[in-house]
Amino acid sequence: MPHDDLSHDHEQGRDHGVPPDPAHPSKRPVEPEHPMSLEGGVVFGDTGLMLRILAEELLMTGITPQDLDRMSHDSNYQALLAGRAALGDAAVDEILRAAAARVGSHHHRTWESSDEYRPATLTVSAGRSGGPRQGN
Amino acid sequence: MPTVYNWQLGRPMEFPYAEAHPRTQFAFVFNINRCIACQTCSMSCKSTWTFGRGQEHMWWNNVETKPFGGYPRFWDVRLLGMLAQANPGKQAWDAGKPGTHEAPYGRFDGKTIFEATEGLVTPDGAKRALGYLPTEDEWAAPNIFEDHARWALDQALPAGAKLPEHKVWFFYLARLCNHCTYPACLAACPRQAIYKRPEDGVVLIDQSRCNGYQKCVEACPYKKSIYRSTTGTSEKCVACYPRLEGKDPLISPNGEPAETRCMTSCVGKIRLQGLVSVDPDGKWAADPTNPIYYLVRERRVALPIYPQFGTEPNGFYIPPRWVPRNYLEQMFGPGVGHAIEQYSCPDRELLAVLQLFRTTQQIIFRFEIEKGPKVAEIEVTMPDGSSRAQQIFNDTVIGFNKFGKEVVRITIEEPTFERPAIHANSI
Repeated sequence: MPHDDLSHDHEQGRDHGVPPDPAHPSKRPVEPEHPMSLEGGVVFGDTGLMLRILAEELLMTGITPQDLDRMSHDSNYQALLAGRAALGDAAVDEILRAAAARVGSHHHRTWESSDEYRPATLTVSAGRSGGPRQGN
Repeated sequence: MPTVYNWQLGRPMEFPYAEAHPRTQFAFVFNINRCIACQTCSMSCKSTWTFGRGQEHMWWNNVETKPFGGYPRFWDVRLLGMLAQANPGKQAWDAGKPGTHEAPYGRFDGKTIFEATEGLVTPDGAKRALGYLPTEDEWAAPNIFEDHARWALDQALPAGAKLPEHKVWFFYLARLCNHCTYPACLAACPRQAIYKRPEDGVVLIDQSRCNGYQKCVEACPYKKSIYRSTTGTSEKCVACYPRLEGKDPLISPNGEPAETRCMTSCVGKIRLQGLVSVDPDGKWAADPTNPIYYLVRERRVALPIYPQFGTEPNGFYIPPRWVPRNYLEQMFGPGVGHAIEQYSCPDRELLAVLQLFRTTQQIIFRFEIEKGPKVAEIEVTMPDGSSRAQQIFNDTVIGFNKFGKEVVRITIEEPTFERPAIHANSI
């Protein structure tokens, strides 16, 4: 039998006199005193209302509708992504579109004029006198 | 026990020490409608104060996903359960009367963590505050499994298992020490190692006196005092007091008080921190042009977190508009309805003050508003799902520092400058 990570764990366990369960933790049965047991009541909420208001809030901070749409597909923004999981893409797209139509994006853009502003050519050298740095 | 007045409860309450109040009080307001849980605040605090050996599990600032999450795990659920057990069926507010300055949210008729210890004697003596010591497992991760709605639904459950059907909702709760007016950590310390600074109300642990009994860890209802095994002492948020004192030469060249690291790093612009003046009797001195006083006391749009615990926390939150009302009232008290009504469709003055969040590193002590023209009319969603028209005026709000110097000037329509692609990365 090849010695993989699991068999290495076996060796560790034997050192302490307790043979570990070779099954992956996610495959083991739940124990009676399992520390992750959950007790609680359900607090009913409204996913659609959450998305509608969250979209308004983010638009008011200056996020564009396009960015909002991108965020709603991004697992780093779980509130938006959870909406897609719960309500479906079509419903979420409509909520985001309607929010943008109601609130707009609070974003005032002022563009720099490229005619008045020309970048100077910047030469980066090693900082020695006597011209460009020579090779080795 | 001596009696002190707790304005958040609208009544006097028992506390182990007699009233003694600072001249000014550190306080903050978080708009959790806009928090995206980027954890920048957590990391800025971590990289400043808790990167040492023995501090690996310490997050003086954390952001947890409610309603599932907590750091330490289930901290609030456990204490609410203990209070309900100590005073069955009576942990309730009498919010029938309209709010007054003395009792803005009505009167809490239940028991605080100090009052719920009546007759409770442990082997160490009489308990000073109801609490518990979290296990190592509960401290192990600041936000484990809590921010994965899709993962939890798709992956976490064994085949065939089902959770009760309910609609997904959650919000992000950023937390740090509330530098309470009546700190439970201070009340519980048998060594008197914890003190509240008279100049700014910051609560600190004197490391030279702390013997590591962890009574503060047990007593703090917000679980913001944390034990460090390598030093054998407890540690907690210090409110970045050198910055409050104006001792950062880059931000405060002339000694101007500056906001803490976690506040100044907030990219979502949800945080505003300040110092409010306190009268000798403990009441906040009337100062409606101080943005914190304005939001908390004048407009009551920002609410204390779990005021029923009785410590009079100085951290205040603008509650998220979409969250079920009964859940919010449990967390922020009966002022929720008024706060959300105010915030959902703010008038031009409130809208202007809300623009001050995260605009300068210096603490804003006073604001002024210059009126501008009407620029838009939008439709916003009210908590009941209906829509209301909101007029937007391009007012200008100006913030002043401790010495009366203007430190920020911002319009409702904040101009941003975008550089054409040709100039990208040019210096």
